[in-house]
Amino acid sequence: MSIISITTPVSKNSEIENFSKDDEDESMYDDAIDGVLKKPEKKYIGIDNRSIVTPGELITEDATWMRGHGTYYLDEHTYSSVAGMISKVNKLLSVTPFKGRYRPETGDHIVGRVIGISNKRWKVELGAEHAGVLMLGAVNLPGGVLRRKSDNDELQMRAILKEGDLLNCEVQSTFSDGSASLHTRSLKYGKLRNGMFLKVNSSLIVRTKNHMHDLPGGVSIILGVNGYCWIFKTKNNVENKINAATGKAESEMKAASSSKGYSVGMGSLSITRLEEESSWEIYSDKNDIISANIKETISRYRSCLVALSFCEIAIDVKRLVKAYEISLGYGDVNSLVSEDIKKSIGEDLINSEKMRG
Amino acid sequence: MSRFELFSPEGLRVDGRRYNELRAFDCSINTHPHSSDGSAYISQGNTKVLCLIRGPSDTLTTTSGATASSADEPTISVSIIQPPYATTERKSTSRTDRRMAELSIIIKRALQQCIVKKNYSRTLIEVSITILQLDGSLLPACINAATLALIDAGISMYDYISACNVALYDTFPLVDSNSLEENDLSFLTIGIIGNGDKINLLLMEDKVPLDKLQKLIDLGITGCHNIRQLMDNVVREIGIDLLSKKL
Amino acid sequence: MPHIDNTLPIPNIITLHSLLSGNPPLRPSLRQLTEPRPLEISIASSTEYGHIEVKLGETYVSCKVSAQITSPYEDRPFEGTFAIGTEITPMCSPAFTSGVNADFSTAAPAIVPATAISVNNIDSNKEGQTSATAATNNINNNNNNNNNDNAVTMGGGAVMGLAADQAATEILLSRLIEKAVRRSNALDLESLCIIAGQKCWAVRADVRFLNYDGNLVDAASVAVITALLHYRKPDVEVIGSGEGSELVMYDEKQREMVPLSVLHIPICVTFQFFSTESVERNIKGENANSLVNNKNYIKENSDNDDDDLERMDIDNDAPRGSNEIIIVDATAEEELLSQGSMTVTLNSNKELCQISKSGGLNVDSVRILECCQIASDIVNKWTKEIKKVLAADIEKRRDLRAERVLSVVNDRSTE
Repeated sequence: MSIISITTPVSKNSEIENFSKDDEDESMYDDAIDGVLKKPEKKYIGIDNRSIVTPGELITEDATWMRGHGTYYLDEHTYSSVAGMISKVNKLLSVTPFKGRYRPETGDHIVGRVIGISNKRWKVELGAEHAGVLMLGAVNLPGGVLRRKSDNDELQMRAILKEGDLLNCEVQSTFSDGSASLHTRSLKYGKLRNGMFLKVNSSLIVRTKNHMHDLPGGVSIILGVNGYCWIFKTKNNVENKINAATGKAESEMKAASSSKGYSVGMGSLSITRLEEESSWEIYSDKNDIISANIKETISRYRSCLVALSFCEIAIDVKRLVKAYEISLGYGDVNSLVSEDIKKSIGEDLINSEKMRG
Repeated sequence: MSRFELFSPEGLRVDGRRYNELRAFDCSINTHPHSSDGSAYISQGNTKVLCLIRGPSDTLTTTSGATASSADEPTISVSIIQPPYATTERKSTSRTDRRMAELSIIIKRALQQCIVKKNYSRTLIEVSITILQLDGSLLPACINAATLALIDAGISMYDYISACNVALYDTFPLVDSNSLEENDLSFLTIGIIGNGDKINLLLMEDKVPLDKLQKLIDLGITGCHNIRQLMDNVVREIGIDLLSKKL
Repeated sequence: MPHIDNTLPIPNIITLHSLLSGNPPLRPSLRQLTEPRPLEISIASSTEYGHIEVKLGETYVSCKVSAQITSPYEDRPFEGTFAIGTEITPMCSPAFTSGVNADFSTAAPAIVPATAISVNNIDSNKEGQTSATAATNNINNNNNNNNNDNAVTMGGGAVMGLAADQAATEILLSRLIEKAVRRSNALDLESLCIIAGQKCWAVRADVRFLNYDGNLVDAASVAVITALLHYRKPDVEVIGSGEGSELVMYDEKQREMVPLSVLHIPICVTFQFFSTESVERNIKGENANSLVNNKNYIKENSDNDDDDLERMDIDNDAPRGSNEIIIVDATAEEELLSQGSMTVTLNSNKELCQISKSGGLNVDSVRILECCQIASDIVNKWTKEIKKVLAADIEKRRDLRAERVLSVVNDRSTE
């Protein structure tokens, strides 16, 4: 015995309604065939930045546009191949999908995780289609930039970065299949410690000039362009600066005294100090001692990020800080995990932005 | 033949639809943002299907065994799960079931034609479909769900691929058949890429007189176009919503 | 690892492509596009029943039908059982390996499709027909020769060909035969019932693929149905009733063997699709008038699908449609390069038993209907062939039996 299935067709869409109504009165089959014969109404979209297209939709019949990502063409017609927004830069026409895997671009500041070591390179998972490659030659080796790479270094690659380590790097170049080659040749890049990892959709991260930010509350964040974020305790740059003013010797002594912790100014951008400060310590596995207060702030920022990603709101630092402020009004960090609160944080944020205009 | 009147002289079907009426169609995308790159849920009447997509990902990093993909196109793997609770008969279907195997090959081949292959060299796209509830039009529901999930995953496609079933009652074609109709009538599954009249997928397992085929195909194409339109509307709605949250 | 084998036809892409893209398109063997290879049906054994060998060009398939008495399925007490075994072994072609790959949907292609060659090169290398077509194309394009058709690759679509992916091939093939013969009720299962719920015949058809040169499905379907028609099962009789009933089987000498009750003769016809143009054109190259045009086109030359180009020079701002080339009964070489296939199963009553086209090139609905028409003609032809062979065999066996009876009589008389 099977069950009778009775469903009332709900006409969500006027199209369907017409389709059924038109045909009711007249004889049945001619209509079905007519329906096929009916010339499909041609949609014609002016090329507007930010207008929405879906796969297979005709974007333009103008052949002068260059066709970028997310499009394909036939003769003079350009069609969209993804659901997304049209973007045009000069004469380049492309469609940015609403969602999708991260596509590396040269210069992107990203966070990745080492998943394998092979012939002079690390494989780094980026959330992209292909794993990225970090060559041994593209990292700062302890001992400074002028040091020659020896076979010994090749053997010791695991001592520098091993499987599971998170790192903070930049896309050096991309290959034709979309995979990326990475580098960490700057003191702001390198292995990540003292914090918490969070993954959001890469399409939510807004590309900006700077992706590493100090946030109120003694916490910093790296908003990787690939959607991988790292929230960590702000490095004591301030302290370093004061130290530098009062006397280098003193700071060095201090560094020496707190030998168990991480003390070298990894956040410093000075190239001249690169040599002296690139020591094995920057690849240390040990975390600093983090106060409960900072830990709570980190987890509050995390919850805010989760809330923004839950509401699919594009993320930048301003919004994150705003969300953080809003979240303070919702009490304890624990309470931020509930869906309702996540939703209302998102709504509050959008509303407050609207208020400001 | 059956104690149900499948198509009354007044032109009504068992569930009160006209011959050319689709069942209630509902769909949503991005239903499982954490466990997949793209996901979609679709319900056509009482047939409810969930589709999750993982990928495109590196073929090397996956654990799913032998995937010696050819150099310039993605490997697509399709798996279909039909839990015992999908039908009124609590029957578990094994993964090695030939019918399911055939179905997954068919879906794979249909999607293969629709994805812009050259953009995804050396990658793996895993499509997993779960049939939550089954009331006819199984293959169309799977294909429609897969299309939406692919769109959600941001995978380049030439166009939507939409599919629908058409059953034949005497000389009347009935669009979007349910399981009652499929049990007693011959039916045809038809799949179309885009808005054209070109057929990508055509599947029929029961006897149909040759001269009735045209009618079935014609109605099927119209049905596919309608389903495409319905899906497109949903995708657009979501797009507009997302757009409002962008900077 | 995929097999690469020298004994396989190495598809001569340039030749095949240039032939097919010509106007009119030609096949390497110069066979008509819609003409199947000669079908040869032979009865393998002069004494046994139900052992048939079918030769379709170089494709060689044998089928043996056997039957035994078992008990029926509980949910179908009034029906016998029927199973078809189709296993592809390395016997028919080194491209196939024994043992089924469990991971069917991601199985690696057994034959590596030849490297893709862009049409552009071909056009520049070949004169004559090909360049003539190119010229026609350009005219039709209104001189848009900067279109992306030169991105076309042949061979990339070979995954659609039957030989490309063994596990998928096996599954599709066995399902096709199953749907064509079993699901279409070609064999009357109720006639196989001996005692309801207790005893019935279990008929089995085992297909062996002896040589592969494309189109295994069609050859196998002919072999199975012919073998079923040819098979004779021993006569059985139930003596007595109730508890004490007894089943008596008579051998050939005691009683004449009984043929199976075959209700109709379904035959598969497989079409392969090719396109010399890009996927984009296949999907998007559509104009609103095409359906109407196609209808006219069918009326005018229904049995000649060569000059598609003619219908394209209608002034329209949409990109022109692509022209798919449809061939019937492909060889292994053609199958390797095919970009899609469709199998239609029909019987001589013009009843469609099964259609299956999964993915591959998109083909206009009108052309699909056209294919069905072509298939119907081929099915009629092949059905006649099958009947002829069977009739001849019956004749032969009758003579033999008469001889035997006569000789027995003679023996007696001489005693």
